[in-house]
Amino acid sequence: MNDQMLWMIVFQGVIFLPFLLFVFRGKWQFLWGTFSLFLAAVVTQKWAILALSGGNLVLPFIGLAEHQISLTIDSLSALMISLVNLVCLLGWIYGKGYLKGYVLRKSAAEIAWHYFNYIWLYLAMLFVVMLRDGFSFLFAWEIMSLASFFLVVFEYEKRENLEAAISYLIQMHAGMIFLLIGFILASGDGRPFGFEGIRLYMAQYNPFGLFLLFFIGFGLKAGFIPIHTWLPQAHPAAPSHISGVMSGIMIKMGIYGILRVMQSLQSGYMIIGILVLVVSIISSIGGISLASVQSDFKKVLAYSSIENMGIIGMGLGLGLVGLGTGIRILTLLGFTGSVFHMINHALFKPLLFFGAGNVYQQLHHRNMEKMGGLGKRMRVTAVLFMVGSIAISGIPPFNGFISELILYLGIFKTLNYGELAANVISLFVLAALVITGGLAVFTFTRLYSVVFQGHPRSEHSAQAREADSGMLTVMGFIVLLLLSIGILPQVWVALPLKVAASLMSGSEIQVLALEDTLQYAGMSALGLIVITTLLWYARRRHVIKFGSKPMPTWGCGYVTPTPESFQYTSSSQGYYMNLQAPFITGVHTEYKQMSEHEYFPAQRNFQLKVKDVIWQYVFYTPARFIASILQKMAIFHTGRIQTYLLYALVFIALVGVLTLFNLF
Amino acid sequence: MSLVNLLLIFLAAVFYPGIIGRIKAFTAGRKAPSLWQPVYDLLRLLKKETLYSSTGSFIMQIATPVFLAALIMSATIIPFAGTQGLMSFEGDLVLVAYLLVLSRFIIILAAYDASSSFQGMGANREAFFSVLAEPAFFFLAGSMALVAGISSFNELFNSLYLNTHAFLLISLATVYILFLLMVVETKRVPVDDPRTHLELTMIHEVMVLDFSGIDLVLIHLGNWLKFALFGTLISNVLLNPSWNFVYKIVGFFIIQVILAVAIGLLESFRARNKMEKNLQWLLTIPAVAVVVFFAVLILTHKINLNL
Repeated sequence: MNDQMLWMIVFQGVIFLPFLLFVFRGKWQFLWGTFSLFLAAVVTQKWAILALSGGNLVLPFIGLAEHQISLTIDSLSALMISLVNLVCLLGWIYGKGYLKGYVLRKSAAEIAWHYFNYIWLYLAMLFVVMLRDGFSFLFAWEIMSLASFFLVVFEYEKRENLEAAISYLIQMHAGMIFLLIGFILASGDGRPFGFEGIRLYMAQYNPFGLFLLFFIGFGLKAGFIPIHTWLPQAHPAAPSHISGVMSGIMIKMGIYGILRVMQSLQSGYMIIGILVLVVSIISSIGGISLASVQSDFKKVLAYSSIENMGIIGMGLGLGLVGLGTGIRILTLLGFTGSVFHMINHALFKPLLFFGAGNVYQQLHHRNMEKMGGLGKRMRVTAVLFMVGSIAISGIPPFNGFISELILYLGIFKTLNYGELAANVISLFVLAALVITGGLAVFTFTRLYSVVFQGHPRSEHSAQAREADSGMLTVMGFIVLLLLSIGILPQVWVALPLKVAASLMSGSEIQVLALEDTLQYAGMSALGLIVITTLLWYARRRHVIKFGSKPMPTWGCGYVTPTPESFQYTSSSQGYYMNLQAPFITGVHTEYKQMSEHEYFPAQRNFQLKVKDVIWQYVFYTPARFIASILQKMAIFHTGRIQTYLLYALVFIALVGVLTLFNLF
Repeated sequence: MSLVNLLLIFLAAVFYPGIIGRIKAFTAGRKAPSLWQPVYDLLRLLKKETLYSSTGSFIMQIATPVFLAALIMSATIIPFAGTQGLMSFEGDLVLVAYLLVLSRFIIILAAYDASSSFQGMGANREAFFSVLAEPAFFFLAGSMALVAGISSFNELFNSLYLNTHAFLLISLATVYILFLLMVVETKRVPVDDPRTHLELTMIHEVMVLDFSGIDLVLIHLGNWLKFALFGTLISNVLLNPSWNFVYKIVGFFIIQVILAVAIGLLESFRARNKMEKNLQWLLTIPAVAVVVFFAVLILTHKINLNL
């Protein structure tokens, strides 16, 4: 016990360490921050490993008034703790290199404030997954939102970043309202205010309404469509290491919340499962469709995060349908695939954002239309980014394939059960998974090719240099993890399997079938790499013997081809998506058509713009409309005390008249 | 025994382009090239220098090896009429589908590497069109799983013979859809004409425009392998695994010849689709697959339609 108390005291002490950041300057800030992070990571990781190997841990934390707050760590919390530790540490090391570009522009206090918020975001996320009491959970949630706001608004000098960050803050609090209402609703009738209260509520009443509230509140954090609107605004505005951490682990907090609420469900699985599936399918297909037409580098990645959250949601929905129909293998594989995808996404999304950060650090803009040819100038980034693109499209031999394989396996295994509803649902989910996979290929080949391949599309792009070795090392480390999951998935699946099993009541886990499949999948990945190497070697031998020469690309016989303008642009690469689904992408072009009588056409400009349809039509335009009406109410604000006294008099008279006529 | 599958696939692959070329020549009234002409072409290419685009990156060095490796890996999984492939496990058909996606992904990147609007157009089309056609494969697998229960590719085909009415419907539809998928994957008429080199109308040809020498050899081999992969899948549906092994081999080769002739005839008598029409045409493949899925659903659940 004494040992445990010591660790708890250390952890409690870690909370105060970040405040000392303001005392230090320069590299000591970074070192002190590293020390705090490291300490917290060691303690929490120790707890996580204890919880995974032994049983659940319940550790008393603080006592406030008569209220004892404890940290509860079960397998799900342990997994989230591990992910938070990994992603935040990677982001911290990457951030050191990334922030070097800001050393001249930002004062030491601003950097300290940035580090302070980073560490507090990290601590808040840890607390979110360890607390079950309602008040403390919401407190930690709020700190998470605030800390991330201050991190997002780091580059406040640019107006659009400031606007995006404030919009983010407002939307986070809008979600908070749903959570608050949910907890309050669950805590009536003497039930505790927290997750325990939710469980007791759901034992008694129809869980759908309460689940919907929490689904909206947590789903806003996770980024399900149509409550995703903050994601494509906040991620481009934030510095890249923050985008990586936010997309890598913070949005998973929304999924964590949904999972916790799902743990309390005892009935109504089918209808809730269908709700989750519908929202997830729309999120994944809509998200990746929007990603394929953006011209902002990081917006593509942000929308891709929405797509991946949709895939995770699909796994959860499948699991719920399995619970509703009694098909246990569907539940197990659905939850396992979903949790595994969480882990995978937490690895390759930060990799992609860090790659974007390398590019942004060199070019200082995110407009894909002006990039190009960066693969020649930033070779290592290009290779690592390509690996990330292959991984996120779910292609072997990397890890993205494994989680999708588990989901497909779950669907196929269900089909033999002869359960009609499950079969029809399986068809839709199957279609959704395949379509998003295909569109992901479409999106990421476009992203990679426009940024890294071809000729530079602007002077600026031709001047880029490779990023720091520290930043590249972090990315390389992630690639090694991706590869290891791809080659040894049967080892890595133990953790998601354990978490999935803990979400289902009951015992037997059909591990064996999954182990076989994953073993072969891993062997195929290895085989693929081996055969590729052999063929590459054979090719090399041939090229050495018979020669090889670089030549300019075939330019269709033009006398003076200009290669820079000859290549495909990013807008043209989105052509088919804009053609087929303009209602999703909200595309409009600005171009003055040539009339028949314009014999000598004047110079013209062509511009293609896409917008987020839901943000524009569901939130922004109605909000502007309401604001414009309310502005007219300004008539009543005369600023003179006489008018206000008149208002009071009119109100009293009105009350008197109504009471007289018994209407009040 | 499983190595036989691989050998059969490779053997079939070598014959496909030759047969298709001869059929097209016959129907056009030309003197037909030799059956081995494509092989002679490859040998000729092997003596040449490899030219690559100066805007190319490391991708041009690894694209064709990855492309061919992905297809060879798929060949190790595809079963042959009751004999399982070199690798066989539950869910391996998902791996086969995604290995095809890998081969597509890397060639698309290699095409963009050449940084020209031709390759860009072709690669962009390839990326989008495959989104439309791909679901068909999974829907087919789903239909088979409805009847037989998911197992490896091998056991799926084996179990197809155990049912009667569902079997007939599925096998006909499967052959039709797999044939169309073969046409789409290998980019033949009506999706894309391998003879046309007009800039605005190429898909596959333009993606490999800047490959030469050993790269082009590997690309050709990969395309031939794609023919054989789908051809083997089709023969799995049509051949009964309980037959004598010799009959199965003879049947296999007869089916491959018939398929090659069919593609040759299709190329000779059908026009290539207009590019915009292609989107619509491609969507019919998963549409048919969905209809098959629902048909099997009705059969297996014995849902009374009260017609």
